[in-house]
Order: sequence, then C-alpha cells, then structure tokens
Amino acid sequence: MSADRLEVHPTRRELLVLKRRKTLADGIADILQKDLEALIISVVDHREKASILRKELYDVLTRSYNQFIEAEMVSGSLKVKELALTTTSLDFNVEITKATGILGIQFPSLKLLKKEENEFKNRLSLSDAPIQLERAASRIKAVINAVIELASITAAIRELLEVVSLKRRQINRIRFKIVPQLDKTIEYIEYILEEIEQQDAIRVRVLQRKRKERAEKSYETD
Amino acid sequence: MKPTKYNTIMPRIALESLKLIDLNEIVRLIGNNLDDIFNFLANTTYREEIISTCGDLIEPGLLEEALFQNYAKMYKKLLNNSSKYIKNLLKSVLHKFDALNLKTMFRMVQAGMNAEDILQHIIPLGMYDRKKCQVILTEARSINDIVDSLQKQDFGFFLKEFIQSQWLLSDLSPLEAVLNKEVFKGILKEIKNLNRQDKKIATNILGIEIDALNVKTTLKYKELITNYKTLKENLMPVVEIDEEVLESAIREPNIKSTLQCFLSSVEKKHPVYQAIFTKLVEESDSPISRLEFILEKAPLAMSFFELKKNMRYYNIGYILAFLNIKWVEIKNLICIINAIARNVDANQIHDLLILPENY
Repeated sequence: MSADRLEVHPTRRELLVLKRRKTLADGIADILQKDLEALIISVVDHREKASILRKELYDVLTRSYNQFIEAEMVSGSLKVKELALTTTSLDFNVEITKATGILGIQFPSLKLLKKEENEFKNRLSLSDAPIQLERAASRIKAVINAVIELASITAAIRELLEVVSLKRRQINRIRFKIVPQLDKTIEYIEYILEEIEQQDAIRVRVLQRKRKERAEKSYETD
Repeated sequence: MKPTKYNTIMPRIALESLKLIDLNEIVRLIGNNLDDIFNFLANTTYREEIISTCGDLIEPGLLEEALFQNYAKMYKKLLNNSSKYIKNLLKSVLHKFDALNLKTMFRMVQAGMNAEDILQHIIPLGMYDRKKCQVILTEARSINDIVDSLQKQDFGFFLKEFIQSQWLLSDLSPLEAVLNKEVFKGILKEIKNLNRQDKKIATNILGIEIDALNVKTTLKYKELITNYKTLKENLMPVVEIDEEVLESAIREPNIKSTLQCFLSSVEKKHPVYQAIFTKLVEESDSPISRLEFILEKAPLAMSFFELKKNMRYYNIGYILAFLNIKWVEIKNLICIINAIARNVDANQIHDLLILPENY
C-alpha cells in the first residue's frame, strides 16, 4: 500500500510532533491487536457453543421429523395436514434485551416469554391424532428454548464479528496507512532538514572563503 | 337374520373379495417409486379412481383420495345390495366417516380456513361428501352456522342441543368427543336389531374396535399426562371392557400395570381379547405407537376368528370382516405411498404395515 505524505512544514518541531504521533499510533495498533485476539477467542468459544447446541437441535428435529413421517404413514398425509393446519399455535413471544459481554460489547440477549398455559390441555385431538404426531409436536415445543438460545448466541457471534471486522479495519488503517504516511513524512522532513543543513554548510564555507579572500585583499592593499 | 336375506349381499361380498390385492403384492410395492405404485394400482380395482383423481400429477394426497373414493364406491355397492337391518348397520358404521368429515369442517372453520381449502381435506365417504360439505360451507361462517345447517340431518339435533347446553367455543374437544360417542352409540343400537347369531358376531367385531379405541385413549392419557376430564369425555360407550375396568386401569400407576389390569379383566372373556392383551402386556415396555399398532390389528383378528368359527352359516361376520380387510388394505397402501414419498427405509415401512401375525 503506497502512502501519501502529509502536507506539513518541514521543520524540526514538526518532525518531533510526527515522531510522537508515530509512537502513539504503534501503541494503539498493539492495543487493538490484543483486543482483536481476545475477540477472536470469544468468537471461537461462542461458535463451539453454537455448534454443540445446533447439533442437539438437529438431533431433536430429526427425531421429531421422523415421528411426523411415521404419523403420515399411519394416518395418511391428508389427516396429518388437516391436524397440523388446525392445531392451536404455540403462544409465545421473544423479549430482546442487551447484555454486556467481552470488552464491554453489548450483545442482544433473547429471552423466551411463554404465556401461562394449562400443561394438561392437548393441542391435538385425543381421539384422532396419532401418538407419533403428539410426540413430534411435544418435541418441537420443548425445542423452542434451544432455538431461542441458539438465536441469542448467533446474534452475539454476529455482533462480535462486526466488532472484529471494525478492529481489523482500524489496525490495518494504522499499520498500512497512518504509520507509512508518518514514516514518509518523517523521511521527507529529515531529508529536507538534511538538505538545508548541507546548503547551510556550503553557504558557511562560501562565506568563510569570501571573508578570507576579502581579508587577504585588504592586507595586500595595506 | 334369515339366510334368504343374504341372497344379494353375499355374492357381492364374494365378488368384492376377489378384487382385493394379494398381500404379497402389497408388500412387494415397498422399495418402488410413486410412478410404479400408480401403474400398479392402475391395473387393479382402483384403476378408475386413480386415473380420474391423479391425472398427470402423482402425489400422496391424490392417491389417498383415490383409495378413499374406491372404498366409498365399494361401500355404496354393499349398501345397495343389503337388506334392511344390515343396511342400517352399515349406514351406522359409515357415520364414523361422517363424524370425521364434520370434525374436519369444525376444526378448519375454527382455524379460519376458507371453504376451498377445507374441501380438500374432506374424505369422500359417508353422507357428508364434498358436494354436501360445499353447500354447508358456502353459507357457514362459524361452527354454530355449520350445526344450524345440519339440524334436519342425523347429527344436527344433538349437536345443537350440546352447543346450547355446555359447549365452550374455544375448545373443540368436547364437541368432537360427543360426536364420536353418538356414532358408536348408533352402531351399538343397530347391532341390537340383528338376530341372535349376527348380533353376537357384530358385537364382537365392532365391539373390539370400540374397546380398542378406549384402551388407546387410556394409554395416550397415561403417556401424555393429559386432563382427566378430557379422558373421560373421550371414552366411548363400553362393550366388553366396562367402565369399572376402565376406571381402575386409569388409576394404575404405569402403562404396564394398566395393561395388566385390562388383561385380568378379559381373562374369562373372548379368546381374541385375551390374545391381544397378552401380547400388549408382553410388549408393555415398547413405545405407545407399537401398542397402538397392536390394538389397530384387533378388529381384523376378531374378524378372522369369527369367520373361522361361523363358516358354515351366512352371517354378518363375512360383511364386517370384508370391510375390515378392505380398510386395512387401504391403510397399508397409504402407509407405503407416504413412506415412499418421504424416502423411508424399507424395514420401517414393513414394521408399520398391518399384516397377519404369521406373515
């Protein structure tokens, strides 16, 4: 990445300021790098948790789906479809709150809000619904908590990844834009200052020579 | 019933029995695809209904409907060839499907579905066929409207009375239970009109179905830990297993003891009951679905038993046994069709087919 130099006066004071800024930028980049590492560890932890939860969820859903298919085989697809379409839907809501996580990042935390319901009340007809369908439905009901938890973890991972991406952009900006820009400007100022020094030295030498010549001339005339 | 009364119905049963699909051929359908099943059924007695219902589209729902249509056609033929009391009994048995269609309408109207969608789930069996349901549904916006439109028909009167007296609009369960009870009461009432021998055979074959239903409901109650009131509502009129036995079975702490209670109550009763409950007790550790499956076979086992026992005489057993066998054939076909549509393993399909014990 090529960096443009900053528009500054090539003075010694400016050089000192730029050098201080460079040291500061390197320090910030190191801190950001440590944050990034902590965030990546947290993402990996969350991902592992999500992976375990997702596997459990898929197992339950697969078992539930197999029961559903068995219900179709026993009672016919028309009956199962009819029962599925007419059963009372589960009454629940999801509350979204904020939870503070690593580096003070605010994660969305999802909480299942269930309405008080009669545990003994059947959602499906006791006489018409095959037991397989009842089992499938009750498994799905039990799995909602895990779905909400998985959604919560997924939301946290998304949030973490956004912060990781932001931190990475910040680090890259410092390392590959700001620092090279400062380096180039420092180099430029140092070069200019060196040039000025060399010109001054030449000028001094010329002046000294002229002074010497003038002194010799006045000596001869005297 | 006099033997002469069987003059027309028995040849019809014999004719229809010849059209049943060989069990081996049904089992061989496992592992085929839906196209193969369609082609197979198109060369059987289901041909007409399969071709007219499915057309170019072969899907489980349409195949199921075609099978039901065939059952309805066969049932209609039997009704036309039956004499008074047999006809009345067959009509009362057909009310099971009327109740199913009414319950479908109630549930779907309550769920706010439109008439077109509801009609797709109506089984083309019984007096509430699609045409009749369409007429009811075009004017009905609520369950009360449906019941009002039934007033002059079989279930209208008592449903209206039930709704006015005790029904809470939010819960369909009591309404469905009272409808089921009425159907089985009707069947038991019609059985009483038969002569001694027929009455005994019909009570055994249709009675075991009702008893099996009560046992299934009790087992479900035990498994799902549902409401006791709902359980009581859903228990049908008793036949061999009386209310006292049901009460004590319900009070048992687990499924095994419940089944043992049932077994001890039928020890001195019909051998088929004994065989069924012995098997249930032996397999009491199995899932409820397996126990339900054993109970599902009970009417068929009783039909075969009564056929063997009363082979020398014309009796209602032939008709009821044939109806049970035909129904099992349709259930087996439905099982295979849905399993194939969902790519189910062949062994699992085989386990869910209703086959004779020694098959």
